Amino acid sequence: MIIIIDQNDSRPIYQQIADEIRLLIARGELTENATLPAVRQLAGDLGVNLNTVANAYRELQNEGLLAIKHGAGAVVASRTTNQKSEENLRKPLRSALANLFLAGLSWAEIMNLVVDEMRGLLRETR
Amino acid sequence: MTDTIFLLIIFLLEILLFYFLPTLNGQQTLFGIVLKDDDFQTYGVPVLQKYRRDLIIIAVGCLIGLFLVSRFTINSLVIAYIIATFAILYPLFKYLRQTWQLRDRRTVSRLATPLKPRRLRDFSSLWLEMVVVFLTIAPFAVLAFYYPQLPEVVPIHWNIAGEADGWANKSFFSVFAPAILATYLQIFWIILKQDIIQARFRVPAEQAEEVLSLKEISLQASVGMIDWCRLICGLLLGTVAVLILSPIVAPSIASALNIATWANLVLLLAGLAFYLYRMILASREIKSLTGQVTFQTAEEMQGWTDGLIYYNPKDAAFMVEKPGGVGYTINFAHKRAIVYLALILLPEVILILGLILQKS
Repeated sequence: MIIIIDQNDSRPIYQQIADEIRLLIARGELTENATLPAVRQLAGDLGVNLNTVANAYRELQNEGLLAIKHGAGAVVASRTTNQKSEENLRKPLRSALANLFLAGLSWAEIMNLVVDEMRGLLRETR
Repeated sequence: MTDTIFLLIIFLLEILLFYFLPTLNGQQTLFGIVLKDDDFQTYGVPVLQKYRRDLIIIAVGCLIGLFLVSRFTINSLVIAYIIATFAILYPLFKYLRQTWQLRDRRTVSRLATPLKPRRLRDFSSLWLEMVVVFLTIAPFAVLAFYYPQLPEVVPIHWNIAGEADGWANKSFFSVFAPAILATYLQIFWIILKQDIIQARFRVPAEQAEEVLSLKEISLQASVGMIDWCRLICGLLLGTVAVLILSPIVAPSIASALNIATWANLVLLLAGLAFYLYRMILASREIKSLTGQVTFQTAEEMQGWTDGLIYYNPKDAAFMVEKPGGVGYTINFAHKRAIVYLALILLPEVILILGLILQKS
């Protein structure tokens, strides 16, 4: 259950933290009702501002993945987001696939990558 | 006379500690600062020889001074001892400043941490907490119960053999001082324990899993060290509190109490050495795995002055690991540093208040 952030990544830090937590929830490493560290602890561990971590938690709360309780910290509320709009779900997929095409990968190579990543997720989710 | 010998023995132990302490002059860290391996060979070995030479010269000078002063009053000896303790720190600071210029400046830009809450209750056992609370409260109850029977003059100081050799008029302060001191220390330690559990816990993005388990061992050892101090100091000061009562309650157990006091002191030092050894071992393994000891970003590295003081207003962390990977220090830019300053000044304030109250 380790999260990794990269200072040279083009995504903002709060986005990286949110993405890492989403991945852990998707893989099933963070189960429902699992407690996340307090904002203060995670901010100290990663050496980032308190607001950065709070923003990441808030974003996940808005998606319905986390429930933030005062004093008790954040817990995983659900393993499915409340974002049902198909267009919103499609957008990141489209840009990720576009990046793969631009990197010069063939249809088959992209399919292999997608299947590989899907297996990675499904293996842990039973 | 016995106090003189006691002080001189402690001073000799201090010199030995500064001569041999592994975190100061091991292969992994020089004065708690991590060097690159080839720098250690070319710079570290000669500087260690210089450091040890300086330490011995100063120590011999201090010992001669202490012997000369010991002919006068015990108070002048205590003051001379405090000065000598600072004097033997001088070569350490001198070479530490030099060494810091050569530190391993590698920093990380990819960093990792386990997404797991570290709470005080996860690191506490119920029975230990109960024993510590009992050891802290019981002396108050016992002393309060026997307070009316205590003579007008009570012992406040004992020699090495456990015989009372210092006395004070009976007052709330002179009777309860050891119990108050014990309570203060227990409060201090529980705050320290909480902060060390919350101290920055970071692993490198590469080899995260292996380093994680070593870091956990190191954290457990730090927490174990504090718990050991809490237990043994609880016993130690509880014994001292009862020593005040021994003349009226049970004169015959005075020597047993004295043995218990010494046994506790030995246990305390042995426990500290054991946990320190485990922390050093874990730190060595981390270095042999990754080549580094702590994993700091470039910005965090800027916060250090001479590898001793950490001041970084942008850092949310309060407790951080020392650059040598063993032990912690505080971020002086953090608001919580004021709590520590207040806690450190509190005993002095109480002592002065106590003296004023006794006078009036």
